[in-house]
Amino acid sequence: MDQEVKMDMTPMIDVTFQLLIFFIITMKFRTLEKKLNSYLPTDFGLNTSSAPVEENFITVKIRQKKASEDPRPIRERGSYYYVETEEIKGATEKEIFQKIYKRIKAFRDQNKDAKGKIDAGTGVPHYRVVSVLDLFHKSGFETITFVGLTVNKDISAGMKWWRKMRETLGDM
Amino acid sequence: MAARKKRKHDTSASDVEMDMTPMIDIVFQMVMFFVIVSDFSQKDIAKLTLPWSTVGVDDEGDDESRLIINITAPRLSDTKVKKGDENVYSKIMVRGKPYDFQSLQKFLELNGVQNPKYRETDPTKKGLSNRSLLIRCDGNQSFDYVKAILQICAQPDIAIYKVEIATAEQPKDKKKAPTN
Repeated sequence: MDQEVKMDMTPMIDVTFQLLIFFIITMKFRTLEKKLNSYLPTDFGLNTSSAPVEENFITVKIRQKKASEDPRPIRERGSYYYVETEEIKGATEKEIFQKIYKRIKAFRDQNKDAKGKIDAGTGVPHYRVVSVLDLFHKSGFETITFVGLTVNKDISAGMKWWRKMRETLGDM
Repeated sequence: MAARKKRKHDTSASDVEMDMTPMIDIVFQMVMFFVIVSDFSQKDIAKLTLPWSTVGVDDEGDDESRLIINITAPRLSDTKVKKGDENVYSKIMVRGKPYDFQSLQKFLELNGVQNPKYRETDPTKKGLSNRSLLIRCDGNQSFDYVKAILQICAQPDIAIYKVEIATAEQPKDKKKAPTN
């Protein structure tokens, strides 16, 4: 009588191994990412005074279009790019980045101690800043600084700034 | 008579059969283990469209004490998401929990140089935290969030200087590009 209720185990083992393989593959997901090491300066803390003007710096400025030029929410609008004070124009973003690369590469080739500075305005999407950062890395710059805003150490002032930023971005 | 003969034959065959129950028990234990472990590792990593880089180095992820901050970016002009739906808003996520400026500052204070567990032992790096921090920001999110986090990290009572920005390799499929 016992033999008649015996189960065929093969499909169950098949399914179990499928599950195992699935979980092993999904766990590998995180190693596919890349990173840009951007260590902060260790010789001083938060420098709230305005930075001294140095000749070695080349600045790339990014500003979002105004609401009157592009009605979409601020971080979905197009950007204006400047190297120093000159606006860099192009039909596509790729073309603009190539022009910026040429400019900063020429500056770096002339000046081995050249430092980069990125001045990103409110609402500029992260990927545009990373693209410019990437161009600086590619041209051999070792020191790249960001033009910051003065976030107050005082938490209530920080929160006020935070709410204002989120309001500007339409994120509230 | 024939039936009795058959039964006798089968009984002798089942004597050499293996008992599968312990093996299946163990296999299911393993499945449960992987389900639980994979759930934990995914909490650190929110689903984002990372920006591209050409000079980014491979992220080994071998530093166990590394902090990971995720910044999500819903499309604000997307008409499919209703206003008032909490998914419309950008979120700073650490281990699956949302943070704002105030709570993030407190969280980093607890995990920075003030925590004796995370101080640099090298005397030339006195007053700095030995913790590294990975910022995973969606490519379409505003850079203001990253800037704010960098400024919080630079404060002398936090002093986390090993900051990394997560990027992705440029995909061959152009449709996946983070673009507006």
